[in-house]
Amino acid sequence: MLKGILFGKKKNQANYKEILRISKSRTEIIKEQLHRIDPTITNQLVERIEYIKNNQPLVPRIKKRDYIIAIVINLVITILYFIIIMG
Amino acid sequence: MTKKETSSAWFTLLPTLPKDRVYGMFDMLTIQICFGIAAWFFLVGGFTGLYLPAREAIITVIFGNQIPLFLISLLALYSARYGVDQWIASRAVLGPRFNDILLIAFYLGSSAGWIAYAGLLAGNSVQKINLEFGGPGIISDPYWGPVIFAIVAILIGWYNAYLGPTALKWVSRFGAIFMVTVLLYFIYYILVITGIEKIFTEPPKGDVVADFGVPENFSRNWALALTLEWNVGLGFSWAFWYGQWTRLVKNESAAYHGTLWGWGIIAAVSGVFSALTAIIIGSFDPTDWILTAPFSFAILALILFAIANITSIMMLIYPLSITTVSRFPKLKWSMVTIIFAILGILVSIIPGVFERYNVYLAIISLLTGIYGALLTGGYLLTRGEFSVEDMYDMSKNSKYYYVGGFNLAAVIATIVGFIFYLTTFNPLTTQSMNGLFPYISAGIPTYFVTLATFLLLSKVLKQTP
Repeated sequence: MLKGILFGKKKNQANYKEILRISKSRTEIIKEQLHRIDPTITNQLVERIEYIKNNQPLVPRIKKRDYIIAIVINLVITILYFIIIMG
Repeated sequence: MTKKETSSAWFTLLPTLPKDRVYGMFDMLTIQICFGIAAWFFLVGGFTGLYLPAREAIITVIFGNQIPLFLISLLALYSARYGVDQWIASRAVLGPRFNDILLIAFYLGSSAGWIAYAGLLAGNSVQKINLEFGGPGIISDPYWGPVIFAIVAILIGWYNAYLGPTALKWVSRFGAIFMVTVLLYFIYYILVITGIEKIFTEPPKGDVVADFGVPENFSRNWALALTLEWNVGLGFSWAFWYGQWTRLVKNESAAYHGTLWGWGIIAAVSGVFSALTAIIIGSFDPTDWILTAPFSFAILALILFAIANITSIMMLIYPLSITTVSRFPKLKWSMVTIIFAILGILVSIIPGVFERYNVYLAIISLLTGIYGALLTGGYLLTRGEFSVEDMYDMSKNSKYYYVGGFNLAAVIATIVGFIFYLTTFNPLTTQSMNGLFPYISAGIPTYFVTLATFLLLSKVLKQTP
């Protein structure tokens, strides 16, 4: 069991390091992909991605009642369509 | 954040933050109304009224446009949630390379045609009215009249698109209210002058048997299926155009409802109007009805067609340009907007494009319905939770890179959708390929086939976004 925990911990640490490596290189990769454009824009992009990652939701989310309104109205239109076409 | 930084998100690939969001519910509605009410709705409504009686034509215009929009309504939420351009968001579902193929071959490739159509319909109306009332000779010319007006409309549209979201907001506020008011007045006038009873008992003046060579004993089924297909084509065609607007919205509800009703039932007023004029005079072009109305109507109609199409051109050039600079960030905003204006003008000059509109719509129905189904599926699989970082990263490190930049589930579902559509209906020859078409349309079933295939394969292949 101890072996399992130790092995699991080591594996988790390795995964964590890998995640950190990818995360760190990701910014570099995006910067590299955009290296030919204005560096101000590239820096702003990286800043904004970080901001969005840490500040979700950015804007108020859609509510269930929005879906219900849409479903009801579209259902009525569908029923009307078939009544008129069948008639 | 400085003012300059805030506004730069309107003209570059930068994701919008709350400070950059300038549209509420009212603005989203007015923008989509201005975008929706244009050549496409007048023509589709006109063709619907040509082949169906009033009662069926009105409900076909509404149902045929509203239901496809409802089916793809979740597309509004991608960009509203993450502030990214639509085609950056769809990388998450399609994979960056497959996304690029659709973006370049179909979205950018076909979009100059939309600009030209908007310009030419307004130009065509101006030419006809000018000829009837003895205006300047050059504008009365059947070729140069529409072309000159289209060029002027495209240039005005380009300038407003170049100015960006704030200019578009104010133009659309006035434009949408004016257009909906005039259209409702025209519909009221038609119903009162012609008489409700006469309109609703008048048989359609077009004949699908003569025009499309369909079997006579199935003429009603064909008229219903064809007109529905044209309207569904228009309804699905908005699939490419959501995120460029919804990234500027202050909340997700406004993004959802603004696109759902603005392009749908409200803009459908223009389709209903042209369907009624087609029933009265037997022409798909509502301008022909205007010529039979009092002179004051001609002036009002001229202003209506001009505003409808110029506002639509600006609503086309802005999203086209924002998508282009998002994909090719080295390009300058001013240069990109000018390129689209020039392309629109070039297509306007080519004769014969106008007459092939129905075929064009049927093809667009095929492409956009499939794209809408894939993105709807992507949203359902993830409940709308995506990684914005991975959307921008087009390298192999991105979790949206899939296999070589292609999401196989999306690629296979697209192929299945294409095959299903083309084995059901040939939009070029308006032929039923397997006998199902007069009984089912093609666009809506293709949407469901594509969606089901995508959801199933995503689970089987374990390629969930």
